[in-house]
Amino acid sequence: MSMSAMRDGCESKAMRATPLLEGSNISKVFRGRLRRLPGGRGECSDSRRPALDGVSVAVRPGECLALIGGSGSGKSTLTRILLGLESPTRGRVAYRGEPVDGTRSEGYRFLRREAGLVFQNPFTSLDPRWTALRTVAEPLRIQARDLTAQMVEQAALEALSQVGLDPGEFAGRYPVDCSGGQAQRIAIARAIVANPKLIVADEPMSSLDVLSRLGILRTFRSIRERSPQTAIILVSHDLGLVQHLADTIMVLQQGRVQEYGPTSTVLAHPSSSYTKELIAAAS
Amino acid sequence: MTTVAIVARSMWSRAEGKFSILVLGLWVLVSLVSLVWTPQSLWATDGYQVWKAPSAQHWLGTDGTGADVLSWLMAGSHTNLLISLLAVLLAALLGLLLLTAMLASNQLLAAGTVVVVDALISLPTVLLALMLAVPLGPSIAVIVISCGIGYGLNLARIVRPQALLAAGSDYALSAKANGAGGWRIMLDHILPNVMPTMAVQLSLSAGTALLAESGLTYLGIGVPSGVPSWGHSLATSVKFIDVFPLTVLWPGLLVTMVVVALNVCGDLLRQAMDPVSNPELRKLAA
Repeated sequence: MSMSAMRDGCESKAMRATPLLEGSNISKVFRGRLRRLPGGRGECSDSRRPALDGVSVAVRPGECLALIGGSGSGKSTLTRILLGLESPTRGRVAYRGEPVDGTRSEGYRFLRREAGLVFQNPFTSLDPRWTALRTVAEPLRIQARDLTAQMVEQAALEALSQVGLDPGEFAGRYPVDCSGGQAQRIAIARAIVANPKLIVADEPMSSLDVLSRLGILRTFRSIRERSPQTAIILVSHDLGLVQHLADTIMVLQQGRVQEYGPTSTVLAHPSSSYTKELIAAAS
Repeated sequence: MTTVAIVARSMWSRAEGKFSILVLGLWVLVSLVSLVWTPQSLWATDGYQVWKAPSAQHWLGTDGTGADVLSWLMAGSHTNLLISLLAVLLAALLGLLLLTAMLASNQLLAAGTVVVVDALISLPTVLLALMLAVPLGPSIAVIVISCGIGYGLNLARIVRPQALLAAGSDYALSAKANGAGGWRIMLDHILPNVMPTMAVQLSLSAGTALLAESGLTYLGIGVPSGVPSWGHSLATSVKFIDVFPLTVLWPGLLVTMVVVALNVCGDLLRQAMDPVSNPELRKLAA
């Protein structure tokens, strides 16, 4: 089956399924500095502009959602809120129908067990004093599943293999001895080692060269083929890179949703001028 | 080859590393030997043998009471070793405790600790020792507690920026996203990443504790009279430096050499035990 046919199939199936992760009417205002006025009154500076303004999003099992937007559009803030790593000023997040509201909530605990995270800069996302094997095995060790040390190591080696790294060569490597692409694959191996139901990748290709980007893109494709029920949120500022992978695209600008819908619809009939510019830039 | 062997080999491969290992090794060895043997009895004094130059019987000469200088320096080495170790241990414990409080998720606790540390760090160690000497009297405890507190505050302040970087890093966030708690992140990611800086700072503190022992004993609030220590040897002979300079030279030389060796050791240890800067360690893991 071709990639686009598979994507179309996933697209329609994904649209029908119950959301795995859902954010409703999310707004986020970062605390700005107060400017002192005569008479002791305080006035908010301009930095109180909302980073997110009434964003609603839903990700279903097996769906790949691309969050697109420029710098400061709120993509990363949205992903952090969706993962429960930051609290929204307004709105709610639910994972598997359970609210993600504080570290004690059921949804938060499900998310911790079932979500994998990939960051933009592979070198700052890997502990410089940990080997690849230790890094990849970390989620399994943290979650203290009923696995022996040998099983954890075996799972980590398999994850390295799944992302196209030779375990024999890379298991004992430190980040300082890896290229950007190799380090990012180690980070992806860490994200998939616990068989997550959701992978959130925050601009995983933006700090890499063109060939490494393609390699990472292929890695995500193979993850989708191998685990068709795994949902992926792919954050990017480059529509061209993710359009072949995403089922759904959300375009954000200054914290507001400009476009949200199936990839084919967004690409064929963009409604906002910003999206049109992004499509023009990608083609 | 084990990690310890690689670290030791990396340090030994450099001239200053050899110096540091030999001096510190000798210090520990002499300290242990002096617990059971010294060339002469510490209390064997002879009024006819005062301020004698080095001889076959007294290798480093005698002091103003006719006692053997070498025997007193040997016996003093274990007092100084004990003071350095205890002061560093107390500094490490206090420093880690304060660091943990400074990184606490409770903003009030974190900010409050920073303010308290910033305020207390301005208090000189000597002043702290003087205050402690009032209830405790001249004792090893005065040196250990004053140095431990002073160096612990310094340690926390120096290590904090690096700890904050590690705490806010993507790898710490990734661990948190996987469900790791604050303590786990502290032990797994923050401490190993601040350990090289801590090693350097603590080795400097061990050296500074030796200098503080000499200074406080000279002031009369450190090691009590009758207990051998390098500071005590210096304090009793410094008044006669114009007439018998050799008796001051030996303890002064010892303190200087050990302090230099400790400073060099900390820096080399940092490089040798850190996989980021030591490719031999990385090869071991590969």
